[in-house]
Parts: sequence; structure tokens; C-alpha cells
Amino acid sequence: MTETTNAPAHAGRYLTFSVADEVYGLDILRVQEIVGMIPLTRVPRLPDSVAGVVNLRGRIIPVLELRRSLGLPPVVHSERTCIIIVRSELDGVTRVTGLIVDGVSDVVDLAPVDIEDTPEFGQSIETPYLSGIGRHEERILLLLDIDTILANCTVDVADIDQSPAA
Amino acid sequence: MKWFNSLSIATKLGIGFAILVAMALSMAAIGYVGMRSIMEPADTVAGEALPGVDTLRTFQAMQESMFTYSQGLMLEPPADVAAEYKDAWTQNNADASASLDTYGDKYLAPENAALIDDMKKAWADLAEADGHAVALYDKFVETGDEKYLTEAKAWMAGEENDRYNTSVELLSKMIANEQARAAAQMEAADAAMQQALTLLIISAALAFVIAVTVSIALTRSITRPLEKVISGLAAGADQVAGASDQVAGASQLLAQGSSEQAANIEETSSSLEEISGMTRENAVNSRRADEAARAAQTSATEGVDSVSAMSDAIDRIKQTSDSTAKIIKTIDEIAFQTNLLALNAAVEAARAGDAGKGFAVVAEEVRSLAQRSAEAAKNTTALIEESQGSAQLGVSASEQVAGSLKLIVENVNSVTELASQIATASEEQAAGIEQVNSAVAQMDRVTQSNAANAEESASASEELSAQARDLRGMVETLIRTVRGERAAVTGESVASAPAPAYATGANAAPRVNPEKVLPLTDADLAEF
Repeated sequence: MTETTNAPAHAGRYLTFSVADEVYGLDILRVQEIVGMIPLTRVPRLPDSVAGVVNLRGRIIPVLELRRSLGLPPVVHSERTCIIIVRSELDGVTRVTGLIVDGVSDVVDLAPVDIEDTPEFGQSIETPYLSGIGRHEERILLLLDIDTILANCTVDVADIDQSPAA
Repeated sequence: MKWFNSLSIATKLGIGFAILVAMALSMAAIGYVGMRSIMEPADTVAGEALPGVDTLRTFQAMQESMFTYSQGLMLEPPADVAAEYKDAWTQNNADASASLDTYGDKYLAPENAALIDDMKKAWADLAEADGHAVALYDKFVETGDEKYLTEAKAWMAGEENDRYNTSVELLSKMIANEQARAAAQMEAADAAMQQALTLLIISAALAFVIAVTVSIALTRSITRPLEKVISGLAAGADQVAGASDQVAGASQLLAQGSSEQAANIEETSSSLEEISGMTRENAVNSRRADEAARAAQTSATEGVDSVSAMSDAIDRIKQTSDSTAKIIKTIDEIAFQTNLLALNAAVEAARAGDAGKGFAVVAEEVRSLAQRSAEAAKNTTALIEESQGSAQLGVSASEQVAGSLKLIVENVNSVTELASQIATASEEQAAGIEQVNSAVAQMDRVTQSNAANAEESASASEELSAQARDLRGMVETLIRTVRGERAAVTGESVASAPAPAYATGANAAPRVNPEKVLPLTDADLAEF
């Protein structure tokens, strides 16, 4: 587990999705695509958080089980299960990774007043994967720090796609 | 005398009386013979001697009477008187002759046999002499010459008197002979009487002894068994009386018991009637239940069919709902994908910045369309789910109904079975009750006959008691007959009576103990 500093959440558009009955938010600029659940190929000798790889229009994309990454127990995938394809920059390498989520909801606009920092739960408790807490229509959105999530899995991507997502 | 004791009473009495009769007859014979021996001389005396004497005396009287008249003639009576005298004299003469002849013919004693001829001659002479005198008188009368009378008187005093004396002497001798004969006969008779008397006394004494002995033996041999019989009879009569009392009591109890039993049987009968009625009701009710169960079964079967039809309809609803659900799912997927598309569009629009605003709006519209679609699909899905849920409820309800109907059918089957079992059992029960009824009826008949028999038994035992009393009376009569009036004891056991005392004919006093009169023991008598 590498410690990284959280980039603070900023106003903008967030893609809301749900994992384990909690609604999370993801900076839409980091989102490349959203697809429904497609066949998953498991790759052995990978950490548990890595679910496998998928073939998306000819591209092989590693997919994470976000539940696992968040430390939540896995569930069986339903028809609502989607894969959010996210892009991240790390060490100058653009990575495209899929996140298996229970369902996607909406694209919302969050004003700065709607965003707050992650509250302190205590000294020894840290939430590195949250970049903040958002409020939207009386709902609490857990704003994910995608980089932290992605950084926590050491996966070498076979291919790096530079072309914009279609 | 065991052989004697084994004879019947009639025979014993016959023998005893025969002995007594024989003794009496022999005594009579003895007496007869004695009397005959007495009678002979008496006969002689009465038949010969006395009539002979009487005849001779008559002869003498006639003689004397004749002389009276002949001498009367000598007294010169008047003529009529003289005629009378002469008639009388003639008569007397004839009578005297007749008497003498009679004597000679009939009564002549052997001692006088030698004298009778002389007597007759003497009489003839005398009669002739007296006749001569009378003739002389006649001559006197004829002639009236008194010399004839005087001659007659002298003749009478002389020759006639001599002849008369001779006659008288002979006559006296003859009479004396007759008397002697009579006396001798009387002596013989006396002697015979003495002999007869002696014989009679002896035989009487013998007869007495024999009679006493025979009567003792006879009486004892008759009364001893009679006494045994009496004691037996009395004891038996007592026992019979006691037994008949017991029987009467038992019969009474039996009659009572039979009455009670009859009453109980009545109750039982009526209870059985009730039970029988209930059983019939049971049978009827069970048949009704059976019919009702069958009707229920039919209804249940019809219900099952209806439920089947309903199930089919519901299945069809389900199928339709499933198909619709699939379609809705497709729509939902389409909406989902559309949504994703819209989101992707929104993402691209966001990335495009200002240039993508118009695109963002379109994407937004598409998103809202997709959301509407999804909403509609969701509502429809909700409706379908509701419908499916209802159908499921309907299915489960119909399954429940089917299950209930099946249960009903099962229960109805069990009810039918039970009802038929009940019906069978009721019929068997009815048959059993019929049997019990007939058994009770029979018991009733038996009880009735028992009661009747008990009644008869009671009356029979009454009769028996009366008979026992009669028997007792007869036993007492028998006792009185056997032992005498004072010996009759009522209510005392005859078996304990002492050695019987009885009156014999020879003893005048009753109740004389023969043991004292004749010291005979049973051993002695046993020798008889």
C-alpha cells in the first residue's frame, strides 16, 4: 500500500455510480467510457482486486473490481453492473483501466459549496481513496480519488492506447 | 324264625290265626267229642229212658184213670155220667195199651226186654179183668141187678186187684229198670263230662301257652319292622317337611329372583331398544354422511378440475407476463444502454468543453428519454412484477386450494371409508343387538318359565309340606295303631322311642311290657 497524497476534489461534473448501496462520484474528465458488463477474462496470479481483462473493441483493458479495491465483499454481477473505463496518468504513462461498479446513475454538477473535505475519522484512520464528500439533492456522494485506487494495484498494461475513446 | 320273619304280614297273621284257629278247632273237636260222649247217655236218657219212664207212667196213669172210671161206675153214677165214664174208660184203656205198646216198640230198655212180654200179658190180664168188671156193670145197668154190681166190686177187689198188683209190680220193676238205666247213663254222662272237662282244661292251657307264644312272636315280628318303618317314616317325614320348607323358601327366593330378573330384563330390553334405535340412527346418519362425503368428493373433484383450469389460466398469465417481462427487459436493456450511451455522450461532451454543450444538451435529452424509457420499463416491470406476484399468489393460492381440495378429497375419502366402516359396524352392531335382543327375549322366556316353575315348585312344595304333614299324621295313626292311643307322640322323633310296648289279646292291661310277662329275648325269638 503506497501512500499518496489525495488531490482535493474540485467542482465540476461528476459521474455518480453506486457500489454496495453507496453512491460514489467520479470526475467526469477522468472517465473515458461507460460500458455494460462484458465477458471478463481472468488472469491468474493477479491480485484479487484485479478482476481480469476485457476486450473492448479490440483493446485489452485490465478491469478492477472496485468493491475489492474498496475492501468491500464481492457480489455477483447483475445486468446493471457496468464497467467505467477511466484514464489515468502515472509516471507519464496513460493508463486505461476498467472499474466494475454495481451501477451508474447520473452525471451531476457539483458546485464548490456542495463539496467538502473528507471528514477526520481519527488519527490512525485514513481514507486515501476519497477525495471528498459531495452533496447532491440531499444525497451524499463519496468522491473517489481514482489515482489512489489505481495506484494500489501494480498492473503492467500490455498496451497503452493514446487515441481518444470512441 | 328267620323264615317266619321273612313272610308277609298277611301270611304271618294267617299262620298265627291258622294256628289259633287250629287250636280252637281242636279244642272244639275235643269239646265236641266230649259233648258227644256226654250227649250219648243224655240222649239215651232223654230219648229213651225218660220217654220210656214217661210212657210207662202214662201207661200207669191211664191205668189208674181207667180204674178211676171203672170204680166210678161202681158208684152208680147217673146214666149220662156213666156213659161218660164208660167212654173215658174205653179211651183210657186204649191209651194205656197204646202207651205200653209205644214203650215196647220205642223205648224198651234192654233190662226190660225180658219183662215186657210179661208186662203185656199182665196188662192184658188186668185190662181183661177190668173189662170184665165193666161188663158186669153193664149187666147191672142192663138188668139193674145189684148182684152184678157186687160181683163187679168183689171182682175188682179180688182177682182184679191181684192182677193189678202183679201189673204194678212188673211196672215198678220196669220203671225202676228204666230209672236205673237213666241213672247209669247219667253217671256215664257225668264221667264223660269230667273227662271232657279235663281234656278241655288241658287243651285250653296248652292253647293259652301256644296262643301267647304265637301272639308274642307274631306281634313282635310285625311291630318290630313296623317300628323301624315308623321311625324311618317319621324321620323321613320330618326330613321331607324340612326339605319341602327349604324348597318352598328356595322357590320363594327363586320366584323373587325371577321377578327381579324379569324386571331387569325389561330394563335391559328397553335399553336395548334405545341402543337399537340409536344404532339405526347411526347407520342412517353414517349413510347420510357417506352420501354427503361423496357429494363433497364430487364437488372437490369438480373444484380440483376448476383449480386445474384456473392453474392453466394462471400459467398462461404467467407465460404472458414472462414474455412481457422479457420484452420489458429488452426495453430496459435498451434504456440502460441508451443511458450509458447518453452518459458516454455526456462524458465526451464534458471533455469537449464548450464545443460539446449542444451535444451535452442532446445527450441530456437522450438521457432523459432513456430515463423515461427506463422509468416506463421500470413501472411496467413493477406492474408485471405485481402481475407476476399476483399470478404467483394466484398460483400459490390455487396450489393451496388444490392442496386443500386434495386434503378435502383425502379427508372425504377417509370420511367415506369411515362412514362405510361406521355403516358396516352399525349393521353389525344392529345384528349383534338383534342377537342380544333375541337372547334377552329368550332370557325373558327362561325367566318367565323360571318364575312359573318357581311358582309351581312353591306350590308343589306346599303340597309336599301338606303331604309331609299327612304322612306325619299317618305315621302317628300308625304309631297309635301299633302302640296304642297313649303312645302316639307328636313332634317327637320316633326313632328314639324305647322298646315298644304293645297290648296283646291275651293281656287285658295295655302297655304291659312283654319282657316282664314272658322273659323272652330277641335271641330266643330269633330261634323261631
